[in-house]
Amino acid sequence: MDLPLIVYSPEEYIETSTGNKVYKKASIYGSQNIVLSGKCVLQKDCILRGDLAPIRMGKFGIIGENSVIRPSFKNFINKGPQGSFIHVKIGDHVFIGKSCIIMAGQISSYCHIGDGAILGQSCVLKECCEVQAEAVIAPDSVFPPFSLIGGNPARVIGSTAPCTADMMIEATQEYYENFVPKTSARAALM
Amino acid sequence: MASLYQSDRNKYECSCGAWDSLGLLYFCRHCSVTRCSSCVLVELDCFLCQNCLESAPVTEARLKKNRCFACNFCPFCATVLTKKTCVNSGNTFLSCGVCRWSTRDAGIPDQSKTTTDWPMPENPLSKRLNEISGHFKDLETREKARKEKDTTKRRTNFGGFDASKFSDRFGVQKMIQARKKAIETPASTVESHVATADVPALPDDVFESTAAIQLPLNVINKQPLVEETTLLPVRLPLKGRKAIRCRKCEHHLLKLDYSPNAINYKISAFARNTIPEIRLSRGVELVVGQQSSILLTLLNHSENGMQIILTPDADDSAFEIVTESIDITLSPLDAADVLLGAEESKYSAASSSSSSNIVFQRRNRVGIRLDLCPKVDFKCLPLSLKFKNIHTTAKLETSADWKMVKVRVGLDK
Repeated sequence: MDLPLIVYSPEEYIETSTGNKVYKKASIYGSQNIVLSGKCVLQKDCILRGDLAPIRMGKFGIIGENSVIRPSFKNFINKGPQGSFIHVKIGDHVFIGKSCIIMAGQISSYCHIGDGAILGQSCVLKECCEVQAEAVIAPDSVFPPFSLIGGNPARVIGSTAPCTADMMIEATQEYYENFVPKTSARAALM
Repeated sequence: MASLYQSDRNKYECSCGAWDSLGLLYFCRHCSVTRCSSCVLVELDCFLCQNCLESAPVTEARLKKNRCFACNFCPFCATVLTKKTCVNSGNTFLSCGVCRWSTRDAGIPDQSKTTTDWPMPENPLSKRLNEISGHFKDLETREKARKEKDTTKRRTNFGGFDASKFSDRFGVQKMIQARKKAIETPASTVESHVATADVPALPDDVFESTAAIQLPLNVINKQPLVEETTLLPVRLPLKGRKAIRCRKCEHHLLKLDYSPNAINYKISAFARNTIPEIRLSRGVELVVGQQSSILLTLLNHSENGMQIILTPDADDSAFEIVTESIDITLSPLDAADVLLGAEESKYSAASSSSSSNIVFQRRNRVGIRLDLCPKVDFKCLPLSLKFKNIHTTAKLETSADWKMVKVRVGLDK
């Protein structure tokens, strides 16, 4: 089914010059450490903890309502007892659903994370992965490209379609286009 | 992604008669037919470890018994174990992030940083198994040698003067000698199993002991020969990467780049890039006996314009057709249009003989309204989709033919 038209109030969201649509009251800490490459959507009440470590997000990234992105903490033997927070890298055309907790080290391009999924500390998702809703990924896990991940603890339970990259490009672009302010011409058609 | 668009609802008919969603179908341009996962040839491209993503050639994978020697998973919950370093000694141990099991619990001493040689469960019957497999290999060599001797044509001048006979330049003599040796040497013998009446009795506590019951089923599957107290880490199996060929013409339909982590395709023949996609625009509410409308979106993901004739099939007479057919020309997909946010394609806009059924036009997609009158409550709308796309044939000189594919659109909520 086609993605629905989502109409937002222009007072609640701000659109940047690069096309990012960001909820004004979203808890975005350490904004100097957060890079959104353009045409990203940060929806209501999402939390980005850029104060802990840098967060870099590719273009057409969608973050659902109430989702949290917080860099993971790791102790390194060589770096003394304090340990450090690890950068979060999120690729292009990544869709993160509602109420997710993302503590991943890397989410590569064309990944889809279902509603309520929890990504454990420093886990790595390679390209074209799909995490099913409510899945809980163990810390430090690595998943190869085209993995369908589900369960608690999450495992590879299948593979995604070979044309996932094309489908994700289409889905994220359509989602961005359908996420419109009340004042737009498309919203008036509703 | 499939779950975002609920693309599993809409099934397309493959040339073999199976039904599958469009994302999982291929289109062979050489045979001009659709192919699904059950009517293609699958070949293994390469092997890679799921955790360290290290690739292994086929011979190496076979030697390692399809396991990665560097990565292990937990015997209890099958989660990949992580290597942790002891602060004082600098040695490492393996630990599970989910159930907190560690190699220390199994009584395995910490290993040095570089080691990958974690103790593996030994099969107590391995010696006997090796003996038997060696015996069968020997039998195989003898049988092969005898068969070769019978089938090889004897040379008439073999006994005469021939320089090659003395120099053995081409290794013929060596081959003959090896064959002779294989036939003449006595066959190896293995001790055969002997039936015995002396079977030890079951211990008394076997029905009372809960030791075996406490183990989860997947643990018993993975390590059936070890006791509960000596669970050991299990080596992670390698994953095979697939390449797909057409069953009839054996042309590649799908082949990834050389790198094991690659997601770019050298060859890709997705049906999605040739056949128009049909989606429901919004949820449907049908009332039996009343004329209702179903709103559909037609999309053209190919790089060429496409002419489409959409006809509802009323074979099962679940509904009465009001809209006989819709004839549309769809614009090609242009990535630049999407990035610039253009509403209309720079190519010729969609045209239709039945413009009253067109709801909207937007770049490579057209929204249509299909009117019908349901006689009973039905959950699946059968459609016939005729389309003309230059991509359906590999021959350059021929013009595009009309192709037809049957589609079932799921109307369930």
